[in-house]
Amino acid sequence: MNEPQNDVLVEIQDLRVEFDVRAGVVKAVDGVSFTINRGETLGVIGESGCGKSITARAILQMIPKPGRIAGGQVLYHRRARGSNQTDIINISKLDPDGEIIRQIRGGEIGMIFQEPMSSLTPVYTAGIHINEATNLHLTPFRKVGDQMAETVLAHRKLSKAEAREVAIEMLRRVGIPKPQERVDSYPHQLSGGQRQRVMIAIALSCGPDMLIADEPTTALDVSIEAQILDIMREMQAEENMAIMFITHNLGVIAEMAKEIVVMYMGKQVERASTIDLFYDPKHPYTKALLQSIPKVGRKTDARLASIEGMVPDPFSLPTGCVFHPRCPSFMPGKCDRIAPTWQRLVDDHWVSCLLYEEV
Amino acid sequence: MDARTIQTGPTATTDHLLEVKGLKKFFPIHKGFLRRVVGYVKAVDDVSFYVRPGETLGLVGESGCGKTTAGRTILRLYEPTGGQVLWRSKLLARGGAQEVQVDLAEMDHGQMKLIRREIAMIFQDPINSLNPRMTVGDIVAEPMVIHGQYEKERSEAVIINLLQRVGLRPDHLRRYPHEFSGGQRQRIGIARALSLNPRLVICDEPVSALDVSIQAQTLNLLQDLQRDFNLAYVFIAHDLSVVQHISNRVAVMYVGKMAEMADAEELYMAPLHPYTEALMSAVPKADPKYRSERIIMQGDVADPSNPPSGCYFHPRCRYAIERCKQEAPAFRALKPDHFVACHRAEELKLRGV
Repeated sequence: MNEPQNDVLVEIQDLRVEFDVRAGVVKAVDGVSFTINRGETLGVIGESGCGKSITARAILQMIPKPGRIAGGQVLYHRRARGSNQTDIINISKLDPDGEIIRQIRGGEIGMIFQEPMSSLTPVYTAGIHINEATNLHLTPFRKVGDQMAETVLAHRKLSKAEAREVAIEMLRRVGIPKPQERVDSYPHQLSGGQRQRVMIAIALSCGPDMLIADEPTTALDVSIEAQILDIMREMQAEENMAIMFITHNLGVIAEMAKEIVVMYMGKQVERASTIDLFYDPKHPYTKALLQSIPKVGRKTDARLASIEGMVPDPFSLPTGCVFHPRCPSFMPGKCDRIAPTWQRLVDDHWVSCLLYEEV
Repeated sequence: MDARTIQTGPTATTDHLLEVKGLKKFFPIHKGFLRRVVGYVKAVDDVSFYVRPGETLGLVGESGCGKTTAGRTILRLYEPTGGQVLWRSKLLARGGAQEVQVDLAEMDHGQMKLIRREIAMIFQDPINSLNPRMTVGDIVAEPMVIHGQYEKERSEAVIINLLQRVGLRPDHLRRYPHEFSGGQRQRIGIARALSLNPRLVICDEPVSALDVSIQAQTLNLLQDLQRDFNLAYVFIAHDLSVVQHISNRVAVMYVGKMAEMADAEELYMAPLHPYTEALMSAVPKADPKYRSERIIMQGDVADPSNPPSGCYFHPRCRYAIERCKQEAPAFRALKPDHFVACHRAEELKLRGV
């Protein structure tokens, strides 16, 4: 492959997010590092409460109170469209209500959430939703499509009629039938799949460099899910957009991601290319996850391999490796005492497990 | 009875624990100041299927296809608009008979209460289906109390036994639902459903809200309980891989109607209905090297208050012919135990997963 290597868009270094609550401190994200390259899809998988959504929110400085970034940094390689100059912005040091993060949030990094109904305002039409984003972000710095560029460059704000055109164009691109009519529909008049498409249209209307998709298809039926995943892939190819795809559905991630990070209790336990992760998983947790899903196709009477026990209490994390009480490869005297370090096995395959360490 | 009911073999009916025939549930649409009925949402429209003792029937379909409504109408949580729900009841059997076949749609309140001891239900949302002000012990005991089966000493032992059976500890008895994780709460719901020794459990999306590792534990538990208590399940879910894993037979619904019903493996490997084929192709496979040729169904699910003419699936079907637009297909047995509602089922060569 000849594509430029290391065309980094977002670099997360040793990110730590803590929540100070009455019962103590919850380390929701505990030392996570990865990079997202332009035009590529990074998958983040893990069970609920593993910190995957909080990591995504940290990128946009959207951590809900009382959470805070306790350490590490999020470096965003900002580049104006068409230029090769890159500014590196440390997002974790930005004021969450400041001008710069508000330009990035929604404008340069879009986000779609799991529940399309509660992410849309019931009193706004689909068109107003999209125009809200475009009005905020479509300045000469950003543009939608090439045919819109001149207009956008000429005026700082779009006129009403132009904004409507942008909205209709976006709805058409995400595959909503009769976009001229649908632009005036309210969320309750749209089906679940259509609502999620409107969310995608909003997120993509400003031509973001990255899309954060937090469980975007979890609430949808498989047939609609297939449509949405196709649209996301098409848009990614057209715009050279990076995607951070968060899900617990291993089938979806196998289709979408180029590289995958597996998280458990706020820590990353393994990172590898999608093929390596599925065909040669190293961490016992990854192995167990892959074995615990029923596979469609061949019918077996075998029981599912389940992970024993449950996710530990975040206030009293196990000593040593946090996975050791549930781990089938538990080594007494080691795993419960020594915390594993994050290390590279081969090429781009990283793991955090004492099985692969000399101790 | 019209021609669309299942044509079963001569001996087949005798071994059916539950037999649903032409079940209908229409919800009226009211409009205007006088709340006049202007139409109906045909949530369940002439649905027929059967469940044998000790087996699992999976019921799948996209959201809004009527699978949950069908499950609830069986238990008369919704009053059926039409059709029969034949159930082999032990508790209603009189005069030395072991079992008697009754039509649940015709039962009165008192008889239905007895039936609810034989058919239990597990709900999707383990948080909202448990009363936050009741302890786990009270939650599991409640069905026994309601049905007059509660005797302090004996029942307490039963409850502790049940809790242990679903993987909870006896000391959990005095705790409240909020103290448990999602998977544990679903186990409480399962223990409650089993407290009256049912023979059929209607499971409405029991693992959809759970994480994969907990989902695997719960599915294993449901299978163990089925074997130990000889339970039959109607397993309603939209996750096709989960349904295949747990079901002996699977029924596919589309806009209130049955599309296909067959042995699980046969349905997945050799579907006869184009809708089943399209659904199967859309399931994401957990294999990055696998590139499926997906059949993208155009458009959205039909509106059950204003369904298309003929076969409801024809606007999205890539095999539709003129006949499909005009004539509704019958739900017929093409092979033993394999039912399909498609005009072209004989000629089409469809691919499975």
